[in-house]
Amino acid sequence: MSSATDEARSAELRQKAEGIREDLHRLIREIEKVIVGHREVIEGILISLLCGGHVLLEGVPGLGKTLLVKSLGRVLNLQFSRIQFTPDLMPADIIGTNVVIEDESGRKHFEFQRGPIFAQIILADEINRATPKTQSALLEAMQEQSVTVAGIAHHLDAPFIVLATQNPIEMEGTYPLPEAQLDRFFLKLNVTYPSIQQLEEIVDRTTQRDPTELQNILDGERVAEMKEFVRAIPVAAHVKNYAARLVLATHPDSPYATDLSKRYVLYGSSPRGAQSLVLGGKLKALLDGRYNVSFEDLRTIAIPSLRHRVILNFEGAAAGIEQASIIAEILEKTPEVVRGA
Amino acid sequence: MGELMEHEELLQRTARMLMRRAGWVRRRALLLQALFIGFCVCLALAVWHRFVPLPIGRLVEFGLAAMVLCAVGAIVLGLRSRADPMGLLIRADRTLRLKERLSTAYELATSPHPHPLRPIVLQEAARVSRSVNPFRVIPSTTPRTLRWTPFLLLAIVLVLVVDFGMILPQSLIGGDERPSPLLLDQGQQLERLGKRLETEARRRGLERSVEASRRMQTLGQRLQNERVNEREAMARINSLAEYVRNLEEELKKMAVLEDVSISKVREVMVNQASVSGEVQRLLGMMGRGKLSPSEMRNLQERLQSLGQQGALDERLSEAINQLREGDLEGAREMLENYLLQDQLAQDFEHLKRAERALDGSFEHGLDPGEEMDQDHPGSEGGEFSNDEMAGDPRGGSGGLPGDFEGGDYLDSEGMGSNSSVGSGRGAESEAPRGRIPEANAPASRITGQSGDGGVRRSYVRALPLKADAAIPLEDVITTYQKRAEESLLREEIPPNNRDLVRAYFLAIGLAEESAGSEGKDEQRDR
Repeated sequence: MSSATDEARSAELRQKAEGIREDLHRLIREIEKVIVGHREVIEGILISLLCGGHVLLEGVPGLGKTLLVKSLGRVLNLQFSRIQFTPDLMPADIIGTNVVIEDESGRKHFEFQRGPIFAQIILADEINRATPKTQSALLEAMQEQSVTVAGIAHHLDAPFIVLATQNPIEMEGTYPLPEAQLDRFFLKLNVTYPSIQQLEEIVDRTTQRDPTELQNILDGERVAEMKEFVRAIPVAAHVKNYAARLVLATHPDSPYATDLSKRYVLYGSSPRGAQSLVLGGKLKALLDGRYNVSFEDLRTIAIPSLRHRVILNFEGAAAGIEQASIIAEILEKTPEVVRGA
Repeated sequence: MGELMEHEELLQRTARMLMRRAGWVRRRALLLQALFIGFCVCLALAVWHRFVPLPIGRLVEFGLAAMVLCAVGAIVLGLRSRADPMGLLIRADRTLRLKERLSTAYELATSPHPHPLRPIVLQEAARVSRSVNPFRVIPSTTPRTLRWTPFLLLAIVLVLVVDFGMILPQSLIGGDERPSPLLLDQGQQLERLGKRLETEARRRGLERSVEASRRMQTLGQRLQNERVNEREAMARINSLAEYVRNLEEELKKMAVLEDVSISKVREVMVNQASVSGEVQRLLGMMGRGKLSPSEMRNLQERLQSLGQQGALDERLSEAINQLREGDLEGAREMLENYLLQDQLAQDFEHLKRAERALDGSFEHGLDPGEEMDQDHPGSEGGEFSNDEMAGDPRGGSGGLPGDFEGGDYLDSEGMGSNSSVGSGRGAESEAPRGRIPEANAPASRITGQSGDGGVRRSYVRALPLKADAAIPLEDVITTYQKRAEESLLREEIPPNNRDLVRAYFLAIGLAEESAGSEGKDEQRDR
């Protein structure tokens, strides 16, 4: 009896895993109908979505960041909201506020008016243009998936994902995100300039044909189911140890620290970095058709997971050191397996 | 369940296979390491052998024992060591790029906590485990230290074979200790013997012997300076001693090492003793009756020494043989016969010369009486003119002419005949060795007719020539003898020359030796 149950459960799991992988690939293919290239960015956004994280997209204007997020909202059949961050944007403009409402009988009462944060996919466009006060309005929503207004907590619908964009070159009149906010982003993805073939493809798609209509691939329920499955993917002890050593290596005072991190890092990654590594590794494994996390999965996800969590010291900032290069050195010098680990 | 168990069993089997392979590789590596350590121990033993020599058999035994001990230790270590299956599976994942499928599945399989994805993880691991090749995962590797093994073997051979005494200072190879006294003594002896042989061989012009003697000296020096194995050194000394004995025999045959004989010959020559005198002395020894073995040996040696100076004819050889056989009387008789015949031969030779001289004198019609009186060397020395004295051997003290040796007793055939007389002046050092005492006789001037109206002058030693004598020798010899003895008694002869005069008369048998006057009378009678 036990044998039959196990076999049935095994078959069910396999079927479920295959279904999830198939859905993910369908989702990627659908987005790629609109977005040319940027496969890693798409995968990163999916990873964050299925891991319950948020994404900070960084890139110069015109690279399709907003289009990517809007396309994601369409294919996922989730509520999509776009917030254009400006210097005069107030927290209430994001979260919402209590307004006085007069009913038919003439009585007046306060009623909470939801802000644009009440959606499932939030596009926080040019998030660094808002003041830190406004930026902080997102903190609770991103971490707790709820907002509190006038002492009343308002829960946000799951799945909830914030996709923030920022322009790295127009720094005048911008407010860099505080470290606490940065740490709440699951991944930081760089949207790079397309190659010549990709650019030709973009030109073709946007000048010759009508915009492609995207289909809904997933809904919120399916996403929640997938999230549950991804979290169940096992991680071997030595792989977890590797992830922990990678994160510790970003700390300048750690025994695992590399030369660059010792010299240019002020603060290393928080434990959220390790969570991000392992969860991201799990989804990478699933996308790769495996049910276990490998060292390679961790290495793939390490830079997007950790780079925004590493805070450079003055020397590093002055020297123009990129956090990605520090993470790359850590990946190069940290052994996968150590004796006695 | 069955499928799950099968997957788990497959995974476990893979782990066991890897463990076996790892154990084998580890044992092999340990054995190789043990081999290397064994070689190191052998090298240490070889070095030890250089300082404290061991028998080769014992050395080999120690080396083999060290190797066996190391091998046993390696086997024990290899059997005791157990590879960690998790570590091997991680290695397999990394080597075969299985992306941690095997290690994660093994962890889930061995974990007591159930995992929701355990079945599909195990299934995936079982699928990839079929491709696991243990030889690829754990290849046989040779320990890096074994790269030094050829150098180690070479070092062992060098330490055992090379003589470091030729390269390194003695202090570095434990040569501070002096060699044993026995070796030192043998070395010194060998060196001395080598020097002696070299001297003798060089005198004889024996190149090979010179070379051999030099080698002996070198070996002798090495024996004194090197600290070598005593047994080995003694074997070397014995072989050398045998070689030296052979060489000595050879040199003896060539009379190189016959120092005794040579000294005897020299003695005979220096003392101006004639063969006859030596034979007379030998007869005197034999006349004392029975001789001791040492005297017999001495007698033989002296006879042989006579042979060395060329006087050994058949009679003397026979006498030596008789002496060896112990026949003292026979040898004595043989020597007496030899002496008698020799004396008779000498007398006959004198007579023949006198006769030849007289015949020549008659032919030239000279008055020998005048000349004889005028030219007698014993009484009238120093009367010649300068050019006549040019060939006078008495001008050099002790220098003797060599004309007796070559048979030029008298040159009566021309004006240049006195050249042989003069030739003796420059050989003062050689003269005493090869001359009989007659050579000490003074020269006489003989003048006579030569051809048509020519005047012939000759210089002779010893007896006057027949042509210059007016009275037969037998008539004047007694007068001469008396005169000589009177002169000696009157001390008119300078003291330095008295011995010469005495020797002359002794040589011609007309005077008596002070020690043997009885024998002198007998000889005179004969």
